[in-house]
Amino acid sequence: MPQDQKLLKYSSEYSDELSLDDELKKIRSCIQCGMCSAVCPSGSFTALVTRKIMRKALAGDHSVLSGPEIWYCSTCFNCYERCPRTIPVTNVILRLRNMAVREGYLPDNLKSVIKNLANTGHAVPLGGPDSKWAKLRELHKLKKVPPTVHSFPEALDELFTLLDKIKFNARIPYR
Amino acid sequence: MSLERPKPRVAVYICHCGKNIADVIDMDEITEYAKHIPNVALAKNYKFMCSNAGQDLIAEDLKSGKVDRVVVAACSPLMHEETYRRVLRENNFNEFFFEQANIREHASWVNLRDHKGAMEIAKDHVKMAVAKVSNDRPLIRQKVEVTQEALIVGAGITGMFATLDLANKYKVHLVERTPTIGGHMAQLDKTFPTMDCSACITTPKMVEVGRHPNINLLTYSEIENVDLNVGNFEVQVRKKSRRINHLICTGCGACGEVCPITVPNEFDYNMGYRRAAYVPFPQAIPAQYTIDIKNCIECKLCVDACEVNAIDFNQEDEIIDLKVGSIIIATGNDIFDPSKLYRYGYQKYKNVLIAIEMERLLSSTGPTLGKVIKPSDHKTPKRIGFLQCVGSRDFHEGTHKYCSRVCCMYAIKQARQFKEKYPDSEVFIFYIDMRTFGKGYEEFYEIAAREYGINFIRGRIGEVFENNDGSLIIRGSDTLLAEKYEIEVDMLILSTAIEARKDADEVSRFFGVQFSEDGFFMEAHPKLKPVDSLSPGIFIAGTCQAPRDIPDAVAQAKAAASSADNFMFSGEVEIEPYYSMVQPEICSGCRSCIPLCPYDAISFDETTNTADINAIKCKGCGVCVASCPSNAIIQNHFTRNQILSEVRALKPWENYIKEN
Repeated sequence: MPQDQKLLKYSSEYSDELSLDDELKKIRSCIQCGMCSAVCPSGSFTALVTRKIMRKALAGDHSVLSGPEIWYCSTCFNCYERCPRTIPVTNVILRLRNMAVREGYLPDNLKSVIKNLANTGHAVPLGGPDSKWAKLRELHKLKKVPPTVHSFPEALDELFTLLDKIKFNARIPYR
Repeated sequence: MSLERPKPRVAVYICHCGKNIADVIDMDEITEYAKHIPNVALAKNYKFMCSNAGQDLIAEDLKSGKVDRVVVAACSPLMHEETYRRVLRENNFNEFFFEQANIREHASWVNLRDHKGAMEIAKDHVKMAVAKVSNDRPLIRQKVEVTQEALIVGAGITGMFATLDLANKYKVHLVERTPTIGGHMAQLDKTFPTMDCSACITTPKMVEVGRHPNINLLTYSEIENVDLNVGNFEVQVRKKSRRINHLICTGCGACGEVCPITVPNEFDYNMGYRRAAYVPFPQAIPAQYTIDIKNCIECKLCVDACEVNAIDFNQEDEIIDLKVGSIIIATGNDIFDPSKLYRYGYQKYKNVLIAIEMERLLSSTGPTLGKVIKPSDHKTPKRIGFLQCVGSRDFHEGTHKYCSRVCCMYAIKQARQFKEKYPDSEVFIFYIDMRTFGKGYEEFYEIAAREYGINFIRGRIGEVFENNDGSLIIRGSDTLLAEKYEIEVDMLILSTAIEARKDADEVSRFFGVQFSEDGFFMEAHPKLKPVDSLSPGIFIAGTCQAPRDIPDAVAQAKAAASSADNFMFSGEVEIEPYYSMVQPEICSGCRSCIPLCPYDAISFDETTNTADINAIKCKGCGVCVASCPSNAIIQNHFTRNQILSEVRALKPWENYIKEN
């Protein structure tokens, strides 16, 4: 068989990690009935197939972390509500996101959010003193710049201290 | 008084069978048609003829004196013939003035889209039934006394339970082929889903069987011949010589210790060894030694070693004659041999085992005392795989179409046992469907996945390769992800199918039991007579009838025991009067019928030089009638005239009317 052909090599790496949590451990009893996918609103419009996410996580398939699908979940909890084996599907996806980030996987649009945070201290920054948000604030007789990191640039250092502490830059380079 | 027979007055009832028949066949049309068939006095239709109201309809008409014979066009006579006959009986009519036309299975169900065609067929069936019933003759059922003893064939878990249930009331003869009772269950380590030790629940029952005063235990014995007299079966049993006097042997084991011959132990599925003088396992019942004469070299060291002088090399096989009222067949199953499925490498690759071998490895009484080792290097495997449906759900020649029912559960059980012994190991189960159907089974499966972390992979292995170190590479397709997989495992266990005994045809010949398509013995009705065979007084139970697990086998054993009790309890049994009779004045004495009879019911009377049929043994199959070159044999209820009247009824309508 040619070496470049993709072959699944099962590993319990991900399911072992998920099993450290008593609730998330239930993923192991997934019977692949597909009910979660059937009611997934995001799955109707995106490539998100929750059933496959569960299966890939159990099989230890790396593509579950490297792929974009887990980020399409809108965390509506429809799947969580209906799973016949009471698997917290949404929570599993959230944990998989954590694991993906730890491995350095994050979609580009989310990376820019991180960059915003690093540069301004806000995931959704105000956009400078002349932005429409600043004008709107003025109209309502508020300070142009809110009393957040925007007003206290030195607080940004504290944020960097925290982010450095968890070695965030090593995982998702933000500066 | 006129000597001419009165003209029959037939009542025809058409059953709607809910919508089963009425949806396809127009009830009014066929009722109207039936009214015009010759000899028909009245015709009616009703929603459910088998209901009380439907039966009352027949009873009323019979009481009114308008009719004396009955045709019901409904389902199969196997289903309700007895129901309607009872109505005739209760109203003082001979119950054989009844015919059932099967217009459900033969007309409506098979022609759901062709209503016109269904109607044609239904009309023919009704016409034939009327013609037959017009020619039917009154018959009387004979009564025969029943011997108050029972025979159970096979002393596995099914046979033992049937025996114990019956033994409180009757004398029971239990015949077992091997030197010990216990069957397959004695070979198992633990049982699903409770995980209780198999030996702990089997051995007390074995001891009970061995000690019960009403049980005549015949181990190391085989059925030699059976005379199928209903209610009084005469059975010859060959008690094979153990070369050891069972009255003296204390089971001390001195003979086994000195025996210089070692042969593979069948009980350990040939993985361990035993001597030529042996007990299969220490808890065997009876706890007596057997000298395996096939492997014995007759060195007679054992004769000197035996302190009680129990060994007797001149001992011969003993033939025991039994007379019993009922028989329960519980001969069990064989295990599928996967070596013909070369792709899985059984017996080609060392580390490919079958499940029963794994069971013996896991068992604390097994050849390794419960340590699981690879046959290649005797080390404990780190990763093992179970492949499901080996020989089941497979349409190839030599494999089986059916699901063997127990393999999903025993694979999960063995996987859990393995995980319990070796928590750091990895276990894979490759399946098509997980079928965990019984009480507590789904929960057992779920815990195996959640708490034991057993990997369930949907997708059968297509190919197995062996590495130089004996480990195996298996390739398959994960059908849930639609991706191919390749896994390296140290050991692969094949969950092999349950199959019918290889010598089942011999048993069937002895007892006149029929086969189903799958090779197992056939029950009289798949739903309503699950433990009855087609021969009265003979019952089937356990895995000789179909694959099943222990709870189901025990349930069947108890059902069969209760049915056998029911059969013997009244002390007499009625014989169906369908038997054939030889007309001695016509019989030429050619003897051609004698070898054809499947029930051995025909003998030759030397004094009159004619054949003679034993009415009790005859099952009314009709083979002799058809074969007789001089038409000397008549079969009750299916005489030449009766059958030809049905055939004649099929002529075009105009001709038929003219002739009648």
